[in-house]
Amino acid sequence: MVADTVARPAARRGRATADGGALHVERRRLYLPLLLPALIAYLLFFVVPSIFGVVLSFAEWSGLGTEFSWVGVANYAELLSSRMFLSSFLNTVLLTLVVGVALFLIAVAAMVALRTARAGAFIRSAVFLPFMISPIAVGLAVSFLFNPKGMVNTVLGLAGLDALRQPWLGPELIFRVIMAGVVWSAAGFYVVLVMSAVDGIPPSLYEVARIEGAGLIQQFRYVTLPLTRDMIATAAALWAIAGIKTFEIVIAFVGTAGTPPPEARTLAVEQYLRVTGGRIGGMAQLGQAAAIGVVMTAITVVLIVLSRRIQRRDRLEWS
Amino acid sequence: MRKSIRVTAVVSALLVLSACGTRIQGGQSSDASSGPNAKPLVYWGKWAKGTPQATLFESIIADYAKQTGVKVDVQWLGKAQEEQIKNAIATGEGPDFFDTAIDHTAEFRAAGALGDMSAVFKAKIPGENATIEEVLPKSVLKAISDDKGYGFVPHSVFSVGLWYDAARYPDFATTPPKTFEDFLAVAGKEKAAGRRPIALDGTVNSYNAFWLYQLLLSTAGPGALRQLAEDPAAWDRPEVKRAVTALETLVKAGLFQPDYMATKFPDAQNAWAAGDHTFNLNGTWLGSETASLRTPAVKARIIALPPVDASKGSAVTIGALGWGVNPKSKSQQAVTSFLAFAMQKKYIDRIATDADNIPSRTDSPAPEALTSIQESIRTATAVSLDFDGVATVAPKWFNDVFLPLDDKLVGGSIDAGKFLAEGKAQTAELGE
Repeated sequence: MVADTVARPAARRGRATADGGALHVERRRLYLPLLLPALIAYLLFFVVPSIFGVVLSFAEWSGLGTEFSWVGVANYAELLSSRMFLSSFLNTVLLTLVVGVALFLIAVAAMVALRTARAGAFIRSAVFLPFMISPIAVGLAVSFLFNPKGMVNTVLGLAGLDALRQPWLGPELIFRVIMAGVVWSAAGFYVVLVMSAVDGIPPSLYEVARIEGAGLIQQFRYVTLPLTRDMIATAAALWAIAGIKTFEIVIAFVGTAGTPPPEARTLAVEQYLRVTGGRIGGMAQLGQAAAIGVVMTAITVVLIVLSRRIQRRDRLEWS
Repeated sequence: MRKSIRVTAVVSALLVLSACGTRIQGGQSSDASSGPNAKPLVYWGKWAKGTPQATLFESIIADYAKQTGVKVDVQWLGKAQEEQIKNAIATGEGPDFFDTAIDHTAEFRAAGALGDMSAVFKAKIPGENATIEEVLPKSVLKAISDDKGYGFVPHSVFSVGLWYDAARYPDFATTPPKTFEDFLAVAGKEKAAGRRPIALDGTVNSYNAFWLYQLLLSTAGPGALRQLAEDPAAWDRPEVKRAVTALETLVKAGLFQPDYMATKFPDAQNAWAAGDHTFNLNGTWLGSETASLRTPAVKARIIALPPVDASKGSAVTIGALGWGVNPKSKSQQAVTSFLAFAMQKKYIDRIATDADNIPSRTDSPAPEALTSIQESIRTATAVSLDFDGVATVAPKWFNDVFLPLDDKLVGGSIDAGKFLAEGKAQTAELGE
């Protein structure tokens, strides 16, 4: 009813020369000069530094002017035996999965509710707002809200819910509070992303569904979900990348005066500590930091591939 | 595509081979100056423009230019300037001199950003008939030295001590509690009267660690923490156990403010400045940091943390800020001349009067609140760096083993026995 399966065009690489006329020859001549600047910039500013990062992960180095020496796979072996790395690894995976599920549920709720809500545009803007706030402002907000004498505990006290007052920023709760903060901060972006796909669905499809007796949930299941699947997959991939790299918001919550506690460390935070050597002037461990970077990239690739696989199916279009 | 991969591989290989087994750095600095008037000196500072230190140093620079005709181009880079300085010096583009601190000596040395400073310290200070070395206390000279000599010329010094409200305890300046146990008794009385006496920003793990480190200094002396980092057997020392047990007693006494491990910095120190709490074990910078928030009734003063054993005086922790000299600078003579000029008493006195910090010179008086600690620094025979310098030489142990375990001990989630056992096991694990 709503979609046709679109097959991918066959690959045409290698046939152009045989097919080309004068215009094609001109295009071929222009191809390299036009491509070259971007290619050089890409090589210099992305490929070479990336390769250097991988190379560095097999070395010990503290920055320009210091000794550079090869250590083979010692940095990776050290990471695998480091309880701090393993704990930050687990924290990162947990944050990516838990927050990812929360973001998905919020996005689904938005797709169901905001499409027809009167104040949909306003709610969308309001939800998007935290995404635009700088981590510094988030840090200030955190101190105002979650400090032992902050607003959250004060309000709970005023409401007679003293039993619920907690040391929110203490080691036991800090990671849960950070995850809630990430959801609060990132939800708007993903809601706007998926809603842009929902907005592109012709209203007539919903009219037909309504006439056929479909409720809101059924409309979501049989109209919205199939036609936004690609955008959801994109959002999942973007979240996998962002989740693995979670950094600023942790720093915003724990502050910069001390070293983030193990309970709040993500891989990016652990990498930052090894790049800087800690807060009190330690020597940088760039080889280990690079190894963490390689691990983060590998996890990101795995998560993206997994999310694409889960979402894989024929592309749907409406006509 | 294959070609681009090959090009990338060649470029990377060249990069890597050039780095293999050697120092990665650039050429010599090109900022040659053949005479004092040839080229301005370049100074990279960490202070934000308008801060007391920046204002003071700018006035020194202006006076120096007026008297000698030599200009100093200053760039205020702000905090965390160390990476910029190291990289710039390594590539031959660094300043002639720059701001540094004891905490950064090891990394600057490793990067070749500090050279031989002996000529600078032998320079005569204009109008004083004394060298830079002669106007500094021996304890400070010891603190700013490593096995290669002096690291930098210090203008300000710091220490760690017990801040208290002298309005409540006017006798502390002359007759402080003799032992840590006596201090706990004083604080315990306040608690019994319904007041939580000690403020602690427990989310700042280095502030938590001040307690154990100062107690360790008292029982085991300087170098004890470094031994803990290097040798698992050091965790069995009775002196270590004594310090850890003393801290456990403090934690169990419930003398910190409620939920102290969850305060968003600087909430606790602000509450201390407002008079909500009496004590705060912190750096000598706490007074200037909280001055604007302090209630007029609070008379902030600092003393050394009372020792665990009254007969065993504690070593003094010394930190310092100052000026490092780029060993590649072609203007060594001019830099030496400027630093000698800047170390005049009339300028270093202003570290106290303008910036509310302890001046490095022996004869420059500290702000009133800090006089007790300055006296300890002047007369100290045993000194220690902040945390024995472990944070710079063994950052992984410090960040991944010591600080997390110390947080648990201070937070009360583990006891002294567990702390010692875990510390020993994790240190051994890290050393394997």
